[in-house]
Amino acid sequence: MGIRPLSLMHPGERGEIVGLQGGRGLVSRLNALGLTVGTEIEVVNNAFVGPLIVLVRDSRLVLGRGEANKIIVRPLPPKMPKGK
Amino acid sequence: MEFRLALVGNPNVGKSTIFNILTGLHQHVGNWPGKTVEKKEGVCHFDGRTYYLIDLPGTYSLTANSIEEIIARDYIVQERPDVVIAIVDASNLERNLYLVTELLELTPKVIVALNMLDLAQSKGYEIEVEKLQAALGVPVVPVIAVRAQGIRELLETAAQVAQGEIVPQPASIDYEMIVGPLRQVEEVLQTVPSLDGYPRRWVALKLLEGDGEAQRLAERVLGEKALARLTEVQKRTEDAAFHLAHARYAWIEEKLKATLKRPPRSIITLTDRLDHLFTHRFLGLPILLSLFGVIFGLTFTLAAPLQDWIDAGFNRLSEGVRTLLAFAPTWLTDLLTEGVIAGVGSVLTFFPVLIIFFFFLALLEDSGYLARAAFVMDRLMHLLGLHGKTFLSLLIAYGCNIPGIMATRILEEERDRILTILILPLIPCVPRLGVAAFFAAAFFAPGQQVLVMLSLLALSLLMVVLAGFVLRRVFLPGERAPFIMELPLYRCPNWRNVGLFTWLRTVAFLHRAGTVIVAVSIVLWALSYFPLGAELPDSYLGQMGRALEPVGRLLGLDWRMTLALLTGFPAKETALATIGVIYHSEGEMLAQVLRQSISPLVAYVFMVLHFLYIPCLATVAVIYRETNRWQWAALAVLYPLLLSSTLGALIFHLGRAWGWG
Repeated sequence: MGIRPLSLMHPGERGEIVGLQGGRGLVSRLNALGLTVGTEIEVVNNAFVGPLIVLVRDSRLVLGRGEANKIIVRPLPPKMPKGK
Repeated sequence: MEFRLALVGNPNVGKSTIFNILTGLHQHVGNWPGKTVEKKEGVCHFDGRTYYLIDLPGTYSLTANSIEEIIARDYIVQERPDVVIAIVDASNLERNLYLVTELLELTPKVIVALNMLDLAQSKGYEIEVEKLQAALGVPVVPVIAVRAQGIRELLETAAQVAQGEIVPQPASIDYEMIVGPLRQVEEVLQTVPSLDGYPRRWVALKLLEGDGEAQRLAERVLGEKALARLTEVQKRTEDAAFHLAHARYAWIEEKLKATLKRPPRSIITLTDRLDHLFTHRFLGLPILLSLFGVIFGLTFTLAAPLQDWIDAGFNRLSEGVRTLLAFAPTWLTDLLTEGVIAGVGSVLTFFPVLIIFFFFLALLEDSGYLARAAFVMDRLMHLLGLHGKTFLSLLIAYGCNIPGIMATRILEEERDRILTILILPLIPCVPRLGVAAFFAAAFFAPGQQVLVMLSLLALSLLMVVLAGFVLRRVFLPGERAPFIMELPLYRCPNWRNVGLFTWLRTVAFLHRAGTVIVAVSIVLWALSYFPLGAELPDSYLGQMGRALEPVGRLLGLDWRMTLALLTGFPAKETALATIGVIYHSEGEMLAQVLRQSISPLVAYVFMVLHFLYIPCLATVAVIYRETNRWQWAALAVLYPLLLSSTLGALIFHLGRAWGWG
């Protein structure tokens, strides 16, 4: 699957942020939390209703579904655990 | 020698822990002038020096996105602290250094306190402090706040920086993509001599980022021609914010390359495992509910003996005063025993419940669980038009509404704060739960009591949802604030933090025992005592109750119960004391007398009304103080009054139609 909003990523999937939609305020806040274009992001928890939990730049963030809709990602292939 | 230090840092990096270690109980918690943001100041003496500390609000950046961010940067620029201590989480260095990059552009007098180094190491991170210090160009002091390690070094370094013994030379960031526009904006800003004390380069950066406050500053000080030139540069570089953030993170990555070694991602931590359970899509909510069920149960069980003990203590005190003042006129001893001692005593009996409840909450908060609770509750909080972060306020309000209202200060949006503050009074606090429990025990069989209490709790929650829904649409329309929250790692709670949280919240409640309650108890007592020689029904208070009887009738209440509700306004627990005075009895005796006097249906209506009808006087005062508008305080009084009387009348008349009373 191709580029899509973060809210549609499954738990365990990784992606690279390719776009941040929304107003200047939201983008600036997302930037401050480490969500910038080009950043790698991993979805930890997504029940497809309610908020998500993501891992980005070593921190765990909760993002509301509305916010996750505005973060556009390009899925990356899953990382292989070492030694396999 | 005296120094002024300011603490800055992201939320959850141990900033409060360090502040608490440094100042202990020598701290003052208030509000920033005209703002609903908490301001913490304190003093610390060490090695013959005095340090005045200010704990600036936790922020992720210094861009004008929220009041907290504006407060933090304005303080640094306008109050010019001798040293700014930036506290960073060693296990989350990359993200934490973002704030530091912004800080270094504002002032060079920065020390980085590298906190939680132990935690970072246990997660497999390796940090070379010396190299980090060289890369950043400012002192880096490793600390382990929870064990009070490194604090001495931090203070010593701060003194050295303040006295100029160490001169930090922060490395500057290369904004390669927009160096040109940045220089042009700086040139524009050179046309004026001063920018309210803000560094020119910093203002230039903020103007490119689209920072509202910086824009207002520029519009105020710049000439027409300069402003036109600025607008022209800004138009050309609309994506500057993206480039700036990118350049900052690129700078951080470069600095960290030589200093930080990360563990492979494949390590599954304790936090991963716990989160799998606590934030599980199906198990998360049941776990949360049972956890809080246990906490409520434990709280009341543990507090009961202490409450009896305090109650007995105050009774003995009353007797003592009576014997001691046997020579004094009766009205004076009555005033002291029935007015002051009984009033303060009734408040203080709730003290054990609150301190135990707030202790458990602080435990959950400091361990990191409450952030998960906010995540789990977010979907339900949406029903109120609020998001998960407001859950903490609602929880605290079950102890006492006042600290609950104060806890709304963590919300970023003014609108969310006001809405939360407005619905909080519908949450039954411990005193209200106490009165309801007495009535439940008096009127219902043991098996039914739990159901009655649960039905009341469910009813109040339903009303919270309804009020949130309506108030949001009628008084506070607009978009919901974004829900972005960091999940801290789980950790063993720090006793100092837990103790202080518990204490500060309980104090908010205790404070009123010493002030409002005493004053109001005396007034109430006087109203019930005069005209001299009159029995309660004929006293001024009794007359007021009877004047209101027609209103009470609509809800099935006689003048006694109406009066009880009336006296519950200053403090909810007073309602029970009033009924006691009216019926001349207490405890089990009172329960018996009441059973003969009113039906279970009326008792239930009374419980509903008492739960919801109006916030107590102290709460109204705090609502006014926190919202800065008397209109909100008035609304917080009026709408619950309307809501509860409608509901009460409905229950009473429907109940009677069904033949229940």
